[in-house]
Amino acid sequence: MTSEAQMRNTDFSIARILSDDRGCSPKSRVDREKGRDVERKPRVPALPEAREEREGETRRSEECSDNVVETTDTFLAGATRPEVRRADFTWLQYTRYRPPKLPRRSYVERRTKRRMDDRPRIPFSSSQLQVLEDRYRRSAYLSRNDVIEMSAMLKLPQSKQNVVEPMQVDAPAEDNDNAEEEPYIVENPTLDLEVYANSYTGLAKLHRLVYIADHCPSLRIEALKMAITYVMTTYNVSLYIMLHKKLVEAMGTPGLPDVAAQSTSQDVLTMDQTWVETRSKKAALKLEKFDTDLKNYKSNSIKESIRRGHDDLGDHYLNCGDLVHALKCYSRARDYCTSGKHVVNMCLNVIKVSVYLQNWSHVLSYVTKAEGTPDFPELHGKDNNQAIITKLKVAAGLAELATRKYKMAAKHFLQASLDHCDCPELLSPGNVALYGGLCALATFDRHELQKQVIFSSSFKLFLELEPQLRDIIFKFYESKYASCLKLLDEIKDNILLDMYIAPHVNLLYTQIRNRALIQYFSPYLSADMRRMATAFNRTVSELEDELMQLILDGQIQARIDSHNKILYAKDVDQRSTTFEKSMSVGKDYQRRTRMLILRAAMLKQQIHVKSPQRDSTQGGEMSVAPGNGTLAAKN
Amino acid sequence: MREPPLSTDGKSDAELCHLFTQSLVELKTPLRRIDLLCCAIRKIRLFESQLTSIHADLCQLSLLAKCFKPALEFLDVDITSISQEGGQFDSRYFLLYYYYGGMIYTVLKNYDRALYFFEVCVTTPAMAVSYIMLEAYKKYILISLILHGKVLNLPRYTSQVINRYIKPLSQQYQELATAYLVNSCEEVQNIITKYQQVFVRDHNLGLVKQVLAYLYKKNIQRLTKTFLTLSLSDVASRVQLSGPAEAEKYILSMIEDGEIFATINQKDGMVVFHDDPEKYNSPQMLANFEKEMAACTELDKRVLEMEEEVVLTPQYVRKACGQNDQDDQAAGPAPTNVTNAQGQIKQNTYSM
Repeated sequence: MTSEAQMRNTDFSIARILSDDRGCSPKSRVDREKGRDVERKPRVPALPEAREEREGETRRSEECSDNVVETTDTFLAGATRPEVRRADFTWLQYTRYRPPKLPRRSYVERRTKRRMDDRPRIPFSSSQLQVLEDRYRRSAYLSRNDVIEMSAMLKLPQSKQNVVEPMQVDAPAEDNDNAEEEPYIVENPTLDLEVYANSYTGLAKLHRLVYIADHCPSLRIEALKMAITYVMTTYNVSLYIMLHKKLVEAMGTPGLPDVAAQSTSQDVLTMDQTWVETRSKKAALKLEKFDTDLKNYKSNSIKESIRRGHDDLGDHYLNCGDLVHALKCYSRARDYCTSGKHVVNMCLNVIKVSVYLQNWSHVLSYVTKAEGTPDFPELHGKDNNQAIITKLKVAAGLAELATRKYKMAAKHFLQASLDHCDCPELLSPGNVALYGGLCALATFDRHELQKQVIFSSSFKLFLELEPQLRDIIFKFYESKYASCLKLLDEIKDNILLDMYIAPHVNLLYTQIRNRALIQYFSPYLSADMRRMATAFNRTVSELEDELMQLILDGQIQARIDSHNKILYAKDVDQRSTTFEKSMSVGKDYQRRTRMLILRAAMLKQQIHVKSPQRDSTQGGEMSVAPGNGTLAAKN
Repeated sequence: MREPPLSTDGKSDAELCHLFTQSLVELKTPLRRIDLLCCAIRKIRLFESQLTSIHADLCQLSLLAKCFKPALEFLDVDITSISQEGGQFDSRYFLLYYYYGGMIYTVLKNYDRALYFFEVCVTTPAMAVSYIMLEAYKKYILISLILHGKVLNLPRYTSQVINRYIKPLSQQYQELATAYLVNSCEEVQNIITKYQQVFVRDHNLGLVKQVLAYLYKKNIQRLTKTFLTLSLSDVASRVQLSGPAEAEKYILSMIEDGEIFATINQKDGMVVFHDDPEKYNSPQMLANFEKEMAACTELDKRVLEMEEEVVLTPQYVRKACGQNDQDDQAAGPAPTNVTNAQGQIKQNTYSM
C-alpha cells in the first residue's frame, strides 16, 4: 500500500493529474490549465515576462507544498481513504490569488462553531421580549441586582437568569412557526388510507403518512404503522427511529382502551434493534461501494460512468433519507451530462429531491432548465417525451402552489396529461386533479374555466378520478353555488390531510367563494340580498359584510341598500370620473413641478444639511418652536 | 435698532433680522414687529419668488403671535430661487422656513399645502440628522394620514438619512400609521394611549387626536362607497362610534363640510347616501379647469426656460459634447475651442 501510494505520487503525467482532479468544480479546470503550463515550462523557456513571474510563483508554492503532501501521504498511507487521494494535488489550484488554506485555520474555524450544548438559545415569550427590549432601550447594561429584579418580574426560572442580558435576545422560535402553519386537527376524514398510501412511493409516501399522523388522531396509529412497514424496505434508519418514537407516543396517549389491540401490536412496539443495526451497516457498506466505484470511474475518466456513479450515489443517499447529500450528488452529475437526455434526467432527479426538501425556487429553476435543454422537444420518442413534460409541469405546478401563485399553478397542472402521469414519488394523478381543479376554480374567470378546464380533453380524464371535484366544478359553472359550496365543505376534511395543499385551503376557499359572489351578481342590475343569502348558505348580515369587503376591494361595482336589503349595481358616469381624474392628475403635476423647480434652486444654492455640530443648537431652538406651533394647531 | 438701515450686502441685514427676531422672542412680544420684518423681506429680496433667511424669522414670529395673515402673503408664493446673502444662506433657515410654514398651514387646515411644505423639508439633501427634519417628518406622517389615509412614499431623491436614522427615531408615529391602515379606530386609540407621553413631549397630541377624528370620517366615507341606505345605528356599529347620536353628529358635520353627500331621515333613523352631485358641466367648473390648465402650461414653460438655461451653460455643453465628440466633428465644427481641443485629445486616446 505504501509503495503504491508513493508510486502514485511520483507519477506526474498530465493524464493522471487530470483524471484525479475530475471531482472538483468546473472552476478548477481553469486552474488545471495553469498546472499544465507548469509542466510544459522547462521545455518552453521563452514565455512573456509577466507570465513567467506568475509561473514562478506557482512553482515555488508547488515545491513547498509538495513536501508537505509527500510527508502527510506517507504518514497516512496505512489508513488512506479515497478522499485523501483526491485531495493530493490540490496545490495545483493554488495561485497567488488563491493561496493554500492552512490546516490550522480550518481547525480553528471548526472550533468556533457553536455546538448544541453550550449556551443554547433561550426562547422568550413575546411579552417578556417586550419588557427586555424596553429595558435595553433605556440602558444596555445591567447590574447584578437589576438582573435579579428583572427575572423576578418576568418570572424566569433560575437557569435562564444569566441570559437576561438584553443584547442577546432572540425572537421566540415557536412564534414564527405558528405564523406559518396553524396547527389544526382533522376529526373525521373519509379517507381510505390504504388506497391513499398505495398511490405514492418513496419518500412522498412517508412524508404524506407522517403528515396525516400529525394532523389526524383517528388515523394516527394506522398511518404510523403503515409508514413503519414501508420504511423497513428502505435504508432510512433515522426516519424509522423517529417514526417508532411517534408510534410509541401515540400508543401511550389513549391510555389502554383495548387490550387486544395492544397485544397484537406488541411486535411493532418494540424497536427492531437488529434491523436497525444491520441496515445501517448495509447502508454504510453500500455507500462505500458506490464511493469506490465512483472513484474508479473517475480515474478512468469516462464521463458516462462518472455520471452514472453520481446518480447511483444520489439514489442511495435518497434511500437513506439523506436529502442534502442526495441533492449534492445529483447536481454534481451535471458536469458529466453529454446529451440532452442526461441533462433532463439530472434535472428530474434534482427536482425530485428539491420537492422533498420543499426548496421551491430550486424546483422552478430546474424545471426551466430542463425545458430549455436544446434538443428537448424531439427527445426519444413521443410517448416518453410526454411523460417528461407531464412530470415537469406537475413539479412546476406544485412549486407555484407552494409559493401561492395559484393561477400559474393551475395553468401548469392543466397541461399535464393523464396517460403519462406517472410520478408516484411526487404526486398521484388524483392530486393533480385536485390541485389543478381548486386553483383553477379560485383564479380562472368563467370563460377560462369553460375553455381550459371543462372542455379540456386531457384534464377531463383527471377530473374523472375525483368525481366530487368534478361535480363541484360543474356546479360552479352551472351557477348552482349553494350545492357547490356545500360539496366543497364536504371534501374539506380530506383536503386538509394533503400536505401540499392544506396550508392553502382556507385562502383558496375564500377566493372561490368571492368569485362565486361576483359571478352571481354580474348579470343583474339589482339583486335581492335575502335570496342571495339563501343561495350562499349565509345570513343576510354576514352576506352584507362579505359584499362590503368585495365592494371596497373594487371587485364588485355595486352599492348596498341596507334598508330594503337590495344590492344595486353602480352605474359609473365615465364623463365625471374622467373629469375628476384629469383634475387630480393636473394637481399632481403642478405639485411635482413646483417641487422640482424648488429643488433646482436648492441644489444651485447647495443647501445641504451637513455639519453635525450645529445640530445641538438647532435642537435647542426646536424645543421652543414646535411647542408654540402645536399649541396653535390644536385650536 | 428699531429701524435697521438696509445695506447693499444682504448678509448683514439678514443677521440683523435674526438678532432682532431673537430679541423679540425673548421679550415675548412677537406681534409687535411683524410688519417690520415683512417690510425687510420686501426690500431685501430681488424678486417676488426669492427666498431669504428672514422668511423663517417671519414665520416663527407669526406662529408665536398666532397671527398668520402677514406671513401667508409670503408663504403662498412658490419659491423659485434662493437669495445668496453673501454665500452664507444657511440650510437651517431653509428647513425652518418650510417647517414653520407647514405648521402655519396645518393650523389653517390647509393640509395639502402643509404636506407640501413638510415634504420639501424632509426631502432636503442631508448628510446628518437634523432635528428640524425629524420633527417635520413626524408631522409629515400625521398630515399624510389626515389627508390621504396612508403615509405617502417619499420621492426617490430623499436622502438616505431619512430611512436610516429618522425613521427609527419616529417609530411611534410609524406604528400609528400601521394601525391607521387597518381602519380600526380602536387600534389607533390604543396606540395613542400607549404613546401619549411621546406625543405630548413632541407637542403633537392635538394633531394625533385630529388623525383619530379623521379616521372616523374616513370610515364613514368608505360607507358611502358601499351603501345606498344605512340606519344610523348600523353606521355607529360599523364605524365603532358610541351610538346613533354620535354618528348623526359626525354625518351632519361632514355633510355641512361637503365631505359626503347624504340626507338623514330622522323619522326612521336612516341615512341615504347620494353620489357626488358635481356633473362637471357648469361654467364655473370650466373656468376652474381653464385656470388649472393655464397654471400647468405656465409651469411647463418655466421648466423649459430652466432647461434652456442649463443647456446654455459652458459646463453642460462641454460635458454633453465630450461624450460623442466624433459625431460632433462629423456633423460640423465644434461649438467652442475648448471642446474642440478636448475632442482631439479624446480621439487620440481612442485611436490608441
